[in-house]
Amino acid sequence: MHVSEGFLGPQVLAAGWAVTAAGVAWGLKKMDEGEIVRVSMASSVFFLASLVNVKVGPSSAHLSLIGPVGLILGWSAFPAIFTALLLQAVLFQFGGLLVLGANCAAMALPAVLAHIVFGSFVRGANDKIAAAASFFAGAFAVLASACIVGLLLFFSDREMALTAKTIFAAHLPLSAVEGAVTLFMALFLRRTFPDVLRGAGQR
Amino acid sequence: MRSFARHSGDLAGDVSVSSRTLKTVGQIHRVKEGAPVPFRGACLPKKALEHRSAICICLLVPVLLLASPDSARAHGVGYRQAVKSAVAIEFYYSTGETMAYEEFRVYSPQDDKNTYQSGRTDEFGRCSFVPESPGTWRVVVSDMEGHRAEASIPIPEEFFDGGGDPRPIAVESPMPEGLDLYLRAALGVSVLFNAAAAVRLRKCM
Repeated sequence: MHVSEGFLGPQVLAAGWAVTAAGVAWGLKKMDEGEIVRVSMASSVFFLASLVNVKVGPSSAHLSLIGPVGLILGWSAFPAIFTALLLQAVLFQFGGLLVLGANCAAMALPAVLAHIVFGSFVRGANDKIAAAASFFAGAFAVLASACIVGLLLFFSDREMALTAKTIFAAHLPLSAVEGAVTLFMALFLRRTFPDVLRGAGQR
Repeated sequence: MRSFARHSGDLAGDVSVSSRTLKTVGQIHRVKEGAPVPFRGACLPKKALEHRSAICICLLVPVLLLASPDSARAHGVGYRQAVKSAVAIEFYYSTGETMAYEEFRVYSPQDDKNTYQSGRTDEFGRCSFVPESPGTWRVVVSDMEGHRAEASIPIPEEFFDGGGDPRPIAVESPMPEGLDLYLRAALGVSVLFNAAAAVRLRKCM
């Protein structure tokens, strides 16, 4: 899911940094200092998830866990994902530092959207609706992220339209895997720590 | 009917017959409705057609005779073993997986804009090219997920004298693997929790 350096144009990079800066600022403002450990825990999970490869046909993709991070953190997903991506860029050479803003926007925005759209259903009393909502939250976050990455590439270079479509198609099977992972994580958290699913700053 | 006959007589030697005129001629020759439209030359007299064919043959024969046998063979293909040495490189992700079947482009030292060669890597993430001049050659591999790797390959003069291999490739992003990978992962998690602890401590103080 990480876009590497050299693909995106300066305008797209600037737009990515603008969205990320606004999101991180808003996320930090909404985050209670007492929840910083929870945020760092979610950030660590996100940081390590990229090392887990999932075989998708002849190719492979890595888990992103954007959905679970969004459901757990809400707007705090922005600073959590930004920090994790920064460490991934420095330690594993995933993505890059210039493109960090665009990558963060592409992953944190779907996470926040998943929280806003599916969060209330996941926390609801009905187990079946909660299970379905968690699955769709995970799958939606991955596909929305793939869409944003595709749009970033398309706006940088119109000839990347086919690549953008391919990225979306390639993430369809991964979205099912992420949906299943999110489903099990959300059901476990509902039984053990239901308060965690409210999102940082909203407890 | 008289006017039709006059019309067809005017067009006896005209080649560019419009569809409207053809219809008129068809009516003159009483072509049945639904039958295929007659050939354009149908409106020309038989003698004129024979004359035109003769001119065409007269022009075509000298052209065919003058054509050299070399140009006839230009469409043939063949193969031979290349005597120049090739450079093969391998691309991989920082997780250790090879960049198999991904698109690669080669840029020569003289022209950094136009592609010297393009293609796809093999199953093991390898690609090769035959450099034509000394200098630093650039190979870029990109996949469909937005990953991109770039290799700079210095080719010395001696490479073309059969005197050895190109110098080692300048790898831009060394791949962490094995213990190094785990250490980096642990370092990342440690940084995250230490940052959280620092914030908590500052709050307590």
